Amino acid sequence: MTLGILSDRIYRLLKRGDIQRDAEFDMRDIQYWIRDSAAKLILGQWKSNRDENKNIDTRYVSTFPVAVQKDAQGNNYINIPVDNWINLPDGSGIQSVRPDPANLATNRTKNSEMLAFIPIPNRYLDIFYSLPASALENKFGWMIRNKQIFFTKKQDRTLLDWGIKGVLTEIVTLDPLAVGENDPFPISEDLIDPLIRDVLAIFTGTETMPKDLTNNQNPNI
Amino acid sequence: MYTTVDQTIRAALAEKGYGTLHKYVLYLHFALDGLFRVKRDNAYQSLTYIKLKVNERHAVKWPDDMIGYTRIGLPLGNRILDFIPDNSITFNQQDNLKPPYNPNNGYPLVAYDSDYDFFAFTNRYYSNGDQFLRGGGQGSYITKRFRANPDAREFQLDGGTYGITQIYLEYVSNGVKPGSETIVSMDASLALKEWIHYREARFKYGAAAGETKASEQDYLHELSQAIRSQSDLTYNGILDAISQGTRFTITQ
Repeated sequence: MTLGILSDRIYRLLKRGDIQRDAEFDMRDIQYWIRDSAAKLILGQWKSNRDENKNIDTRYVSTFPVAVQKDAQGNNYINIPVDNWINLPDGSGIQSVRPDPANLATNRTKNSEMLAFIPIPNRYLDIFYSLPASALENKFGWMIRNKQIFFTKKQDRTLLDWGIKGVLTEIVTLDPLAVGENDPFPISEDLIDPLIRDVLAIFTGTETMPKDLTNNQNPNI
Repeated sequence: MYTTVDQTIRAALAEKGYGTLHKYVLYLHFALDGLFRVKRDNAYQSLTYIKLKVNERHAVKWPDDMIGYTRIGLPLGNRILDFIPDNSITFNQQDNLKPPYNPNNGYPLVAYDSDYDFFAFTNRYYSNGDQFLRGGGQGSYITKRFRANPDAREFQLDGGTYGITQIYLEYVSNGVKPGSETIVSMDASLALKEWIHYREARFKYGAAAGETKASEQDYLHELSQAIRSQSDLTYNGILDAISQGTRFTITQ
């Protein structure tokens, strides 16, 4: 099931079977709503099941290879590749950032060197900066600043100093960059029905009965 | 059996069912806090030995992870010559970069101690290659003394240590060394893990919650197990100790 097929199905329902390419609204309108509604349903399903399963289904997690850059102060950062992601607790919408094995200056063979970096939730460093925990047990940490992810140093050396030129980020997102029109749309079968109903409700919800202001018996006043 | 604090935290995360590391920093904070406790409660004993440089003020900075020290001395070959605590040493040597000298003879002003009579009346050298201790002979005072300065977190050495470039320190570490992975015994690791769960429940559900009480009990249980494992007595040893106390009565 791709986004294209999903939007066709909804469009057909809206138009009672007909697909007109010169319609009053674009197929992309439907696709935007599908993404938005799917994100809401995915988060809702996860929340209702979080006691049993804290982890989000892997089909919703997209992996992006990103190049590490250096700013004027020498801090290493990456640009977050997508505009938006699902709001999971503690900022875990961005699930992990780890070294990209395909983009290392030196060959690293130890598993421990390829482990994910430590996420530092927003403003935690403000609290922990002077505590021993801020040393992160000799691991790299990362934190989100605006649309970028900044990395802490390990033994006073940055990621680039350690020869890590690229990282893999795992993000829970339905951004067009992660899920294109013709990619399989990552949604579980049980959510397709509520998803279609959701989007249909948006496009048909505005079709109300015209108000008859002269009729006192009209319940729509 | 030893593990690391890092692995302890990952185990605690896995037990809670987390698949990401977003609680890592919080758990690390709990773990390091707990590590201090298990050390303080003697569930995890470890002495650390280190050689430290003497700075130009004749003081030695404490390591950041020091809880308390057991001895300070001068490393000479395979011997450690202990320094003697002396609270009459002043801390005001910042202004006076060298130890005070006797204006009359130019010798460093040092205290005399009878324990060091041997060195005071011999001319023999004790050397480890890069520094040496020489008996001055003729009653020359070479007593090594120090005073701990908790405010500045340093040991202030006195004039008798003039010429010494490094000292040996034996101390109780809190186990936390920034910039490296903290190693912890398996027994203590189990207690730490329960401590993490307890602290999380404590702040999440409140002190009165059943979950908090249960996890506190788990922590106390693991802590007592860890303390018990520190005992030098074997099972047979304990039985022997009991039987020796009662045998007399039995054989009568």
